[in-house]
Amino acid sequence: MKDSEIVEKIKRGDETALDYLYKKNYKMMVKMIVKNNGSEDEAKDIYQDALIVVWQKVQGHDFALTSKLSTFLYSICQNLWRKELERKARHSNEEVNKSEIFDIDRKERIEIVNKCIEDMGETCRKILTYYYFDNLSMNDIADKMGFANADTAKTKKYKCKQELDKKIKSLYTASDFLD
Amino acid sequence: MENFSSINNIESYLTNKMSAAERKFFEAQLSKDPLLQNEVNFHKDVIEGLQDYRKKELKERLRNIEVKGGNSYTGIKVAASILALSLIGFGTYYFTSTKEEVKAPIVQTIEQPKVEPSAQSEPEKTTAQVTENVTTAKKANKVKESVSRKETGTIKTTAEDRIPMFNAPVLKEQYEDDQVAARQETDAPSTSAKTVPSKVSAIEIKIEESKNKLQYQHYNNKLFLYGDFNSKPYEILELNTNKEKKLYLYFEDKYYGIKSNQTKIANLEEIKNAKLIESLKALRDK
Repeated sequence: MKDSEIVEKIKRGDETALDYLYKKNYKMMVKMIVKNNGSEDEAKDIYQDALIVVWQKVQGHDFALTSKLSTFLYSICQNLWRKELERKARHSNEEVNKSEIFDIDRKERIEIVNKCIEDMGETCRKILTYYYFDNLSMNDIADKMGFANADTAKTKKYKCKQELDKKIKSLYTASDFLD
Repeated sequence: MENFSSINNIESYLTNKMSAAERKFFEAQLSKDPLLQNEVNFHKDVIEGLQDYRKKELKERLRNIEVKGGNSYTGIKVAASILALSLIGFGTYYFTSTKEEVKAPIVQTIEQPKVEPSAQSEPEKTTAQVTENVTTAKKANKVKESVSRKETGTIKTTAEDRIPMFNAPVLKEQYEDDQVAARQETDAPSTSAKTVPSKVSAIEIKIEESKNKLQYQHYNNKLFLYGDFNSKPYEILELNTNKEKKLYLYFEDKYYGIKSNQTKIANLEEIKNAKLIESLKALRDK
């Protein structure tokens, strides 16, 4: 597959392009991290994260490919690994990671949100995650979900979000977060 | 601010769909309106939750892709691969249990290449199979006991293996007589009755241990079998007729039909047709 084809597929939210990229560049990326003091598991983990970053960047509206996709992926992978090494170094020096202590209320709120997302119907969850994470257009969502057209997708997206918000809010008030 | 328009504004704001001017105006509003701040924070949490969910989902997808070293398999390598793959399986288990706190069963991925004389011709196909172990593991977990074992078997059959069956004129009739086939009439839209030389068909099979009944489903291009298949041997049989290829399961001296369009979990139905059983037996004895 050519880079341009892969980019097109990613923009449409076609996960097979992700699988393809993953396999194609696996050796090179994992090797790079392993050479730089990473274990194979760490290498995989970082490489997967890097690929998802690429996936999302390509889906951004203003994305234009200025280099080869593999080069792009390589640099993101390098960056993530550098950050991970820094994080590890920090951790061994400091005993407590301060950013991990955030207020309990917020933690609880996020748990409620996650629970509600998990409990959502699959269709709604797909629509909303495609919209908010993959940045897919209503047209692409309609294609992926087998809806008649973009309007259907739009209406459904609106309803699903409204329902989710309502559910979360009711649980929030139940535990007295708001007001 | 009015409710409806403000939700749209909040969304555009949070998903970076505002122009610079709109953004500036919105932020000015935001700074003096604590209720609006509350709303924005709320929607931010929800959107971030959705994004996290999708991110995890994609990561799981990638984690379950097996990247092979480029060379295709030979029988001798199987033992080594079983070890390597169960390590990957353990890795998956370890990751899920620590980072996501999902109670996942121990996943054992075992490759069982039974017949694969032409694996080299399509290496892409084998590797292209994305297994979503974790997702399915979660699913299995809901219904079944907490520790279930899973097996991935890749069975390859080639046209050569089946040619004798293929050409047997009697077979077609037997096949058409079969009750399972009769129920499936609706799903054979391709009317080309020509003999299509079938290429390698790779079926990925997952076993979910279940004490109850024997069930199956097709999901994500994989065949899931539910039942006590780990302790007793089973065989997947592929009958090729000139219309389509059909799958059957042989288990504990019984034959079961596997419909190709069954995407929901269904009970495995025993084949009663004596003639069909006869030809399946013949196929097994080869």
